[in-house]
Order: sequence, then C-alpha cells, then structure tokens
Amino acid sequence: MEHLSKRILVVDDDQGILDSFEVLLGDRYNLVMTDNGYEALRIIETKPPRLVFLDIKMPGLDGMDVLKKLRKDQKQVEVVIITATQRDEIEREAKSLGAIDFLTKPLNIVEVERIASQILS
Amino acid sequence: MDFRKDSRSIRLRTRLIFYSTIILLLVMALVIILVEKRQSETIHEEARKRGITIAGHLAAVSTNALLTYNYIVLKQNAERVVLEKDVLYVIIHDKEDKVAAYSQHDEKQGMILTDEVSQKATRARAPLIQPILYGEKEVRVLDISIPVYIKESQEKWGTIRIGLSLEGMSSQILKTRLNLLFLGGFAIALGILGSIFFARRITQPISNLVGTTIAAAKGDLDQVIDIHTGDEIEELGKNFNHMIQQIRLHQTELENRLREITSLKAYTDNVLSSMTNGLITIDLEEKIVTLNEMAERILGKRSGKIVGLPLERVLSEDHPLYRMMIETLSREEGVFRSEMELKKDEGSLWLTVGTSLLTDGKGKKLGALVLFQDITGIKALEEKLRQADRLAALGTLSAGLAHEVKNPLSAIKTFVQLLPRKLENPSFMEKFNSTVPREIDRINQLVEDLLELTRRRVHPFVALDVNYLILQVIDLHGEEMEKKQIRFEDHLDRTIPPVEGNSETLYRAFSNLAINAIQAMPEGGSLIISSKHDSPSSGLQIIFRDTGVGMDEETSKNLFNPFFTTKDRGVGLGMALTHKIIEDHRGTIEVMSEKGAGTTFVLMLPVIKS
Repeated sequence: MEHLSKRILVVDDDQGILDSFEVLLGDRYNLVMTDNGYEALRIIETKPPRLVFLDIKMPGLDGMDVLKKLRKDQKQVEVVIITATQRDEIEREAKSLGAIDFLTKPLNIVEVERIASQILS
Repeated sequence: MDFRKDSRSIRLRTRLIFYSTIILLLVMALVIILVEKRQSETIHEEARKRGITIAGHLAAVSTNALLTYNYIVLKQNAERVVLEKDVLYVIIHDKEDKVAAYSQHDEKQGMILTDEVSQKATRARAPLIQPILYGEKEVRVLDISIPVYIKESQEKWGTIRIGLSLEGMSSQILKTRLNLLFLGGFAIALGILGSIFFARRITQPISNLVGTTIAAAKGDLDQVIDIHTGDEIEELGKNFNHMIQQIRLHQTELENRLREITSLKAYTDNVLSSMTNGLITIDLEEKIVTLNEMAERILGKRSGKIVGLPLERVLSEDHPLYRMMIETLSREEGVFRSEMELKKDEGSLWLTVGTSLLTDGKGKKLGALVLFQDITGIKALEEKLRQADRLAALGTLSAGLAHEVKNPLSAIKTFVQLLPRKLENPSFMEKFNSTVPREIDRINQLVEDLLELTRRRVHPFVALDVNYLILQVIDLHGEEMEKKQIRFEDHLDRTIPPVEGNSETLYRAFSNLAINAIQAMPEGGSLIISSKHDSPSSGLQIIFRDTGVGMDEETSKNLFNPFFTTKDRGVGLGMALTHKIIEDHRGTIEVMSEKGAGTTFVLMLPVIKS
C-alpha cells in the first residue's frame, strides 16, 4: 500500500505536458502517464493511483468522460483537472463530479507540488 | 335604347280596317253599278217588247180598218189601246200618212203631223222606236211605230204609233236603285263591322306580341306569350317564347360569368395588394398597366393615378427598373438581379428584381412584368450575421489558438521554473534541451501556420512531380507508420504530367493528409494513395484513403475550419492549411468519411498544358 500511496496518474494528450510532470514530480512520486482516457481508466482499474491529473480535451474518451466513469464506479481517487481552456461551467461540472481542484495551463508548479504533497503526504 | 310603339306609325288594325273598307266600297259600287245597268237594260227591253207587242196587236186588228179607211174602228181601237197601262198616246196614220186616229185628240184627225218624230215614224219601212220627251211635262216616252203591210203586197197601208211612257219604268229603276243603295250601304256597314271584328281578331295577338316584345326589350324577361290562334301568329309567339327562354338562359350565364369575373378580379386585386413583393406590369407602349401597393411603397410613388402613365415618366430614363423592363421588352426574355441598389436620400434601398416577358396564352407579346422585393432589411441582417460569424470564427480561432499555445507554453514555463532548482541535474538538463526548444518550435510553427493561412500566395510556382512529393512524405512518416502497423499502398500512376505549384507548401499539404490518416489508424491499417490523369482536359486526381476510425458528418463537414473541435477530436490548423494550399494551387479538395469505415480525400490539381 505504501507503494500505491505514492502513485500519481497524469492523463494528457500533449507530450509537453507529460514531460513537464515528469521533470516536476517524477523524482518524488511514482508517476504513471498516458495520453488517452481509455488507458487512464485501465490504469485506475489495475494499478489505482491516489491522485490523477486529468486533461479535459483529448481524442476518444475525454477528461469529463473519465471523471463520470470514476464517479459511476465510485472509485476512491482524487482527481485534479488540468485544462487549457478556463470555463466556469466546465469547472462547476468537474467539481460536481468530484474533482478536488481545477488548474489551468500554463500550470503553476508551486500549485502542482502543493496538491501532490497534500494528497500524498 | 328606347323601346315603345312609334306614334307616327299607323296601327295595323286601322290599316286593315281602312283597306278592307276601301275594297268593300269598290266592290259594292261595282256590284251596284253592274246590277243597276243590267236591270235598266232589262226594264228598257221589257218596255220595248211590250210596246212592239201592243203596237203589233193594234196593227193586226187595225189592218182591215186601214184598208177600208174606217176611221171609226181605228178611233175605237186607238181609244181602247190608250187605256193600256203606260200607253200615253196611240196614233194611227193612213196610207197617206194622215192621222186616221189619235187617242184623245180627235181634232188632229186628217192632219199630217210634221214633227220630226212623226216624219221618221211614217217614213219608216220597219218597226221604229224613238225615245222622245212628250208633252209639256216632257215625259220620257218611247215612240214605237210599226208600218202596216198586207201579206201579199209590199205596199204600206198605214203606220201604227204608240207612245209608251217610261215614267213607270223610271220609277221602277229608281226604286231598284234605292233598293240597291240601301242593300249596298247595309252590306258595306256590315262589311266594315266584320272587318273591324276580324282585324281585332288578327291584330289582338299581334298587339299582345308587340307589348310583350317591348317589355322584353326593356329587360323584363319573365314574359310568356299565350296565343292560341292556331296560325303563324301562334307559331311566332312560340318562337318568341323560345327566344326569350334562350335569352334568359344566356343572360343567367352571362350574369354568372360576370359574377365569376368580378370575384376573380377582386381576388386578383386582393392578391396584388396583399403581396409583399412589388409588382409592375407595362404594355408594349411602355405604359403602366398594374402597379400594386407594395410597389408604390417600395418606390415611394404615391402620386395618385399612376396606371396608364408611361413608365419612364413615373420612374426615370436612367432608373435601373426602367432599364430592365425595356431590356426585357427588346430582348424578349426576363432579366434577374439578386441584388440591386437604389440610391435614395435616406440611404440605399436594396432590391431583388426579376423581370419577365408578359405573353398571352399563345405566346403573343403583351408587355413586361417586374417583380421586386425590398431586401434592405435582409441585407442589414446579413451584414449583422456576417459580423456575428466573423466574431464567432474569431472566437473559435482564439479558443483554438489559446489551447494550442497553452500546452507548449505550460511545458516551457514548468521547465523554466525548475531550471534554477535543477540546473545541476544532468538528466533534467537533457530533458530541458530536448523539450523546451521543441515546445518553442511548436508555438512558432503555430504562428507560422496562422500567418500562412491568412497570407496571399507568394510562393513561386514551378513544374512539380506530385508522385515524388508524395513518396517523400511517406518516407518521412515511414518509421511512425511501421510502429503503428500502417501499411502504405502505392497506387501512383507514374505517367502523370507535372503540375504547376510550390513544392514546399504542397509537401506540407500532403504531409498533413498523411498525419491525419496515421492519427485515424491507432490500431493500424492501410493508407492507400493513388494519382491519375484521365484526360488532357481534366485535372490531376490524387486520392488519400485510410482504413481508420472515420469521422462523423459534422466533423468531416467542418474539417477544414481552423481549430474546429468536437467532443471526439480537435483539429489544429493542419487541415485548414491543407485546404488553403490546394486552393492556392487552383485545385479542389473534398473529404468523404464514414464513422468506422475510414476517410477518403479527393484532390484535383490542374496540370501544365503541354
């Protein structure tokens, strides 16, 4: 469980974002990364992380779909939305679906680190 | 028209009576004259015969007395005969013409009478009748003389004369005449009465007929003639009734037609005045025949009576509507203009105008028709919509741009923020050196693409081998395709002619199409690219076909819009740019796609004419 407790999943279809998370959190946490929603759900099912950084706009299954699925399956996982488009209604919907935070790109590294340490400490 | 009896005309009945009376009078007069003449002749003849008989008889009984000069017997004979009715006198002359006996005139015995009548009588060798006037009263008398001969001798022995009065005969003739006149008058009176009666009988139905025809002519068609004379007049009446019935039928039909026409006219008027389009029709003399309310309103012509005026006077010689109408009349075909601007004091009036030639059912030219609609409001709305579209497009573009920029920006920011902390970390620096320039390049490429998309074509065009460019693209993406198990099928026709274009931009266009196909086949598949040139007149056809996931209708419809995004996918500027590049090459690009069945792009590029 110790091992699992440090696991963070980053879901984003942009390689730059994935690279950013790797250099920011890779040396302190067990980072798992994927560029699509299907893979994300599979990972949550098989190797459940404590924290998920989830992009909204992705081909196929988007972030909101993933969130709905998690909610439906009553998965005990904290989700933080990371998105390039700040829209109040998306934020409201995400929070109503259980997202604990809503970060807009470009990401503030201090905030990302704070959330990671808060959840995983 | 005034239908009544002509007061100057003599009525038929009067004429009938008049003519029949004249005829009657003539006939009666002729009858009376003939009868009277005939009767007079008969009476005269009777008188003569009687006179001769009496004289003959006297001669017979007096012959011996004459031979013997027995004046006493002769005197007795004369006095006896003179007693006979109408016998006025009896004279017996002897052989020497002396008076042998003279009734009631004894004093004349032995005298020779010298008057002309006596001379003629005594000289006559045959019976002689002389009409004379006798005595002081000048009574009309027939003097009848008969010579007396002895049978065996030619010698005359005397002359027997009697004077037979015609007074009795005259009174009889008079009486006959009176009778005739009385009878004639009675007959004429009866005839006139009869003719009046028959004239009435004949003319009464005609009068009825005339009265009825006058009433009918005045418009009262509820007339029925009821004549039963059994002759031509009854037939005339029947024919008239039939004629009236026919007229009534025609009149009813005409009234119905008129009602229909009136209601149709009212309907047409309503249609014209209710129309939201302006309508003007002119005849061949360019005079206005119709101009509906909307036309008045649109043209601002409210000067009362416009119909009938020449169009040129109502509009003006250089008015576009006038020119279109004249053109229609001269070219004998309609003209259409989807937008036409009319300059007015208070701004422009925009119209959609269509004219057509006005013909009758047989194609004979009658005039021209113009139908126009005020689209000023629509134009303003369109302008607003265009602006809204521009703003919306700008919104989409901005949102897309923000999304596309923010990802690399976020990566750069993160790396830069970590730099002071991890400057000594070689693996970070390695990652930094690979990631940051790449992300900066992405932003730069985005800006370049955006500029390219809005730039007018400036690249020089040269003759290009399209196949070569395509194969280069495949070569570049070969490794990725292999990794994703995507097979390339080469259907390129090596004999196609070159196209005129820019190798750099066309390469990008083909590359974008290849990337699109690769992205559409995450589970592998086939990318089939073909090129062909069917005929010298047609362009070069290039087809990119993949067996990927395909797109829904909305996505394929909007595929070439910059930053178009659906729930499933977002496109950056790649496809918009591809579209622009192909258009710059005067080519076309179309996309056909079906969800789950793959996508096909069909490009047409003009070839260089040899």
